[in-house]
Formats: sequence, structure tokens, C-alpha cells
Amino acid sequence: MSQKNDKDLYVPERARIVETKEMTDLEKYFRIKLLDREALGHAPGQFVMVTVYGVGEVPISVSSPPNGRSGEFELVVRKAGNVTQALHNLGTESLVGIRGPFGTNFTSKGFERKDILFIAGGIGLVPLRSFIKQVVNENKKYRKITILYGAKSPDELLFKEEMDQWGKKENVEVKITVDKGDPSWKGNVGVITTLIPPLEIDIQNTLVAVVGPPVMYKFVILSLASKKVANKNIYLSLERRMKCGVGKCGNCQIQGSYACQDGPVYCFADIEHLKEAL
Amino acid sequence: MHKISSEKFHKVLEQIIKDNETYGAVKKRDEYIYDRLETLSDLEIENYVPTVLPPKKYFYPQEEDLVQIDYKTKKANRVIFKKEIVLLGVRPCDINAISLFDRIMSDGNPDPNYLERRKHITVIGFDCVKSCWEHALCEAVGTINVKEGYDLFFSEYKKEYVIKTGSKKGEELFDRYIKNSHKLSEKERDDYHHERAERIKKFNHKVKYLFQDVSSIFEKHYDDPYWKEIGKICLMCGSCVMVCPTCYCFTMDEEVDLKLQTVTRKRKWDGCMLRDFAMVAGNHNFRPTAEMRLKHRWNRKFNYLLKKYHMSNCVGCGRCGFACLVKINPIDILNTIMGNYYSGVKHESEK
Ligand SMILES: Cc1cc2nc3c(=O)[nH]c(=O)nc-3n(C[C@H](O)[C@H](O)[C@H](O)COP(=O)(O)OP(=O)(O)OC[C@H]3O[C@@H](n4cnc5c(N)ncnc54)[C@H](O)[C@@H]3O)c2cc1C
Ligand code: SF4
Ligand code: SF4
Ligand code: FES
Repeated sequence: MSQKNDKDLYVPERARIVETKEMTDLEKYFRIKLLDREALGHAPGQFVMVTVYGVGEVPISVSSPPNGRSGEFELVVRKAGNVTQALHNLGTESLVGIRGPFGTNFTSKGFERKDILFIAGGIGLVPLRSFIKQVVNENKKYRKITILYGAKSPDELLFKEEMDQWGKKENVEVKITVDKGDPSWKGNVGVITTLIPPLEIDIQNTLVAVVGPPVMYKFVILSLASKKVANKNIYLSLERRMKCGVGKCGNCQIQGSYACQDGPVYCFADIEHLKEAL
Repeated sequence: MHKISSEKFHKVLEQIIKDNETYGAVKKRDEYIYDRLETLSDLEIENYVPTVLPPKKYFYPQEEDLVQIDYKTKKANRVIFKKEIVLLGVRPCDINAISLFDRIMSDGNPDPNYLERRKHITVIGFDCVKSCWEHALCEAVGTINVKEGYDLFFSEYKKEYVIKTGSKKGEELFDRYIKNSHKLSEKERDDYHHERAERIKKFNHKVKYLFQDVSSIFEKHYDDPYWKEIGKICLMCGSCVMVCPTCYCFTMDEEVDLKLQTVTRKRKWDGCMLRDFAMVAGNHNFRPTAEMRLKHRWNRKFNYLLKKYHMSNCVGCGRCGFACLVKINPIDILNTIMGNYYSGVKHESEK
């Protein structure tokens, strides 16, 4: 699943931006096509290293599900600093560099005809969306699909229309909450963990996939634990600083584990004893 | 195994320096540094003390070009670096560090830039006949012996020099420069090994505990109080990382030339003791304190990477202990943590 040719370990492939969309004040959507290769060949939860030529390279999760439009994939980028700002300045037809896909992925294998619970906090929806779409597109294969999504405020919610579409499917339930509402907001108010206690979870038969900012995990894990969800059924994606994406630079290390290779998607049972992880 | 006379040894080295771009330990004021050798007299043989920077700077420079990208077409190519050089007089600790680098860089996703550069570097090692300085712990961590990472290796033996070849390249060098030599008889060989073991017995031996259990002890004592103690004095300056022959963490940067023709992707040394190393967007730092960073750095040396590569990732040169302004050093770290383990001192998570 890693590099197509290790001779090019640090060499970015060319890709063209074919569509962009401003999503919020901070987040911008990009649809991207590789120039010299058919398809990216990623799995949900994997990431690519994106080069803004002359500025630098950053890890960004692939937000579209596998087998999207041939050779195309989607990214959503939050303005966080130097490179991400430069990426925001690019429009359609611009070229960017791509390395990857890298890292481990989410999989629903073994959970056919069972339940899947997605928990996304803030920009965590972006990486999780790839997996959500894969599952929701084949919703008939599963029993119950629940999507919990929390953001700071209503204007920071991403992919609202898609969420509505997903929620219309018969076995899919979408629950959204914001930390702080505004006058027009009619939905739930409160942090994402407030959505967990009311859930009916069939703990033997539910796969839980969680992505969010570092502070969210501890609280979500505690809520899930009080529901007695087994750690082996919880998967999460950990963010770390990443420079190489290929297990060399050391930036992403969590004790002896490399988040770019052994992660970013981890089974919670594998890391619960790993100090530094959460 | 062969041996040559001291006189021949010096002649051979002189010839190697004459024929090749050769680098070795040179005395500059009261320090030693790796530098270009013009003649054999430049090279410090007898009184070697670890150089300020290890020879790592030749195969893993502080800053190196990895990729060049045409700014117009964005076509990118790996930078291929192939300059033939010889490193002369590399000591066992640094040879082990090179061997470790070779393993790390060829493991998993092999690093093509490193491996290409490395192919063109010849390593000629010298054995240590006495402990170089009080900071060293090579005999404790097992790096006074060399198995890989060198082409030729010279070891003093009864005023003569025993020669080992460590690679095909080493055999070619042997044929080219040494030719006539005396092949050691079995008896001589045993005697050499015996004598060498005897002289190692006279090394520092400041580490008080057996090294073989170190990684499980470091794991069990992950929250040892000593980390907090040295965390209080550490300046987070990163000097320990910069002088270390086995530290290899890096960052990448991009530079554009003034004519806007080429973008160069560069690799630069980075280090886990430095401020931004574990920082992600939103200013969240996964290792904000010196305590956490020290714990991480030393667990890499004696636990995480030791387990992964089956050898100590501290090769015992002592450079970090010497460079550290507050004298944090591996000898004290090993003695304290292992000592606390054996004497049953409780650590955080047990309390
Ligand atoms: C596996 C993975 C997937 C990610 N997916 C997405 C995504 O889908 N969308 C998105 O918007 N962001 C994503 N990020 C975060 C994104 O990589 C960082 O926001 C980006 O690297 C910041 O770079 P910058 O040059 O813009 O900021 P800088 O100017 O470098 O710094 C701004 C802040 O970002 C931190 N930072 C710098 N480099 C990195 C790095 N390599 N990794 C993490 N933090 C860093 C800095 O410490 C600082 O706090 C992901 C990160 C990881 C590790
Ligand atoms: S251990 Fe010493 S050399 Fe290393 S960062 Fe701390 S003060 Fe600096
Ligand atoms: S950790 Fe210190 S003593 Fe060990 S190899 Fe590195 S610089 Fe030398
Ligand atoms: S990002 Fe470089 S080792 Fe993981």
C-alpha cells in the first residue's frame, strides 16, 4: 500500500487541482487528479503528502472514498500555517505534488450485517468521510449506521448537505451537535460526548471509528468505556507531526510506534497501554 | 586475519591519503574534528578523543539536497550524490553508528538518497587500545566490537597491526594497498583476541549493571523519578542530538533559486529535544516538557530502537555527555534507572 517505487521515496508526483470550493472561513475543498498515474489507490483513513512547490509539504488525509472518479481524489485543508495557507491560495489548474498514499486504514471487514458507529469531532470529519462514504454507499451491507458529528459552532460544520443525504437512507442516522449555537441553530448544543450516552449500542456487534482533535479522544473513550464497548472494536486516527510519511524522519513517533506507518489508524486495544498515545 | 608492521601500516595509510579524498580526526586547538587529510601527520592516531561531530556529517550531512524540481514543469528528480571519499581512522563506536545507519536506512522503505551516497564512502577503522575519555561507555553497550559498517579495520597488536576486511570493497583495498602481509596462525589469532579482551578490561567500566536487560528495565521504569529530576535541569538546547552519531531525525524544507527555475527539497537535521519537534496544528505539543523529551530520546536509544534493530542505539561515544552544559549523560542515566529498578525504587505509575 505504500510507495510504488522506492527509488522515488521523497519525490512528489505531479497532480492537477481540478476543482476547489471554499467551505468555511478556514477550510477549503480540493478535487485533485494525478497527472502521470491512473488512480491514487488509497483506502479510507490513509493520507498523502501534499507539496506546494517552493513552499513545503504537509500530510493531508484523503477525504474521498476509494474508487472515486477515476484518478481523482478529494482533500479538505484547514488553514493552519505556512503550507496550508499557500495551498489555499492555489486555484484550479494549479499543480501540486503528491506522495503516497501512506499509513494504515479503516476497514469494515468482519462487520457486514452489523453496526457501525462513526464519531467525528471538528475537522476529524475530513479523514473519516472517506470511510463514512464507503460504508454509506453500501448501506445495505450493514445493519445500523450511526454518524455523530460535533463542531465548535454552526458555521464550522462541514459537508452539511452530504450529511442530510446520508441521514435520508433508511438505516443511517446522523446526529450533529455544536459546542455553542447561534440564533438560527435549532439542533443539539453541547460537546460531542453528550451524544454518546443516549445511544443504544450492541457492544458485541458494533465497530466504532473515531477521528477528532487530540483533546477529544480521552473523553470519547471514557464515554465508550462506560457503555462497555470493547477496546478491540474501537478504531481511531491519531495526528502527529509528519515530515516524511515513510517511517524515517522520526517526527511522528509515539513511543516505539510510527504514526505514519503503524498509524494513523490504530485499533484502540493496540495502543491503550502506549503512554503518549492519547 | 593478517598483520603488518607498524612501519608498513604508516606507509599504507600515507598511500591511501595520497590516492583518495580522505578525511579523519584532526586536532584543532584543543578539540578534534573530522577534516580533510593532506598527509598522515594530520591524522591523530595515538591520542584520539571523540571528535566534536561524528563522521556522520559525511554520509548524513546537516543539510542535504534530496529532490530537484523544475519550477516550470514541476518534473521532479531525486538528487544523486556520488563523490568517492575515504573516512580514515573511524573508531569502533562510530563504526557501529554507521552500521546502525545502514540498517535503519535500508529497513522498511529504503532511503535511496542515503544509500546512494553511502555506496561511495569507504570506511577504514582503527581499534581503540585504551579508553578515549571518561564519557565513553562503548565497552558497556557492546560497541567496542565491530561486525559491520567498515571496509578495513586495523587493530594494534604487539606493536604491529592486525587487519580485518569487512566488505568486498575492503578486500579490494587489501589487495591494492597491502598485498604482502603475514597471515595470523590460529595460535596468534587466539592470542590477539585474548590480548584485546585484556585491554578492554582496563576501559572505563562506569556502567554498574549488565546492559542486556536494559530495554525491559526502561520499559518497566518508564515513569522513573529520574526523568523528572533531569527534566528540571535540561535546557532543551538539542546539543546532545546534534553531536550524536546515531540520531537521525530530520525535517524537510524547500528552497527556490533566485531565477525561479529550480525548487530544491532539502533534508535537515532535526531533534526530539527541540521545541517544535512534536508540535502539530493548533499549537498542540505532544512532548511539551524536557522530562518527556529526555524520556523519549533515551528510550529510543535503549528501548524502542534497540528492540527494533537488535543493538544499542547509543554507541557509547560520550559526545552528548561532554556537550551537555548541565552534564546529563548516558552513564548516569543507565546507572540511575537500572539502579532504581534493582533497588526497587517506586516510580510514578506504581505509587
Ligand atoms: C495523518 C494526518 C492527516 C492530516 N489530515 C489533514 C486534513 O485532511 N486536512 C487538514 O487541514 N489538515 C490535516 N492534517 C494537519 C496538517 O498536516 C497540518 O495542519 C499542516 O501540516 C500544518 O502545516 P503548515 O505548514 O500549514 O503549518 P506550519 O506553519 O508549519 O505550522 C502551523 C502549525 O502546524 C503544526 N505542524 C507543522 N507541520 C506539521 C505536520 N507535518 N503535521 C502536523 N502538524 C504540523 C505546527 O507545529 C504549527 O503548530 C493532517 C495531519 C496528519 C498528521
Ligand atoms: S540533555 Fe543537555 S544537551 Fe541535551 S537538550 Fe538537555 S541540556 Fe541540551
Ligand atoms: S547518545 Fe550520547 S553517548 Fe550515545 S551515541 Fe549518542 S552522543 Fe554518543
Ligand atoms: S512521518 Fe517521518 S517517520 Fe513518520
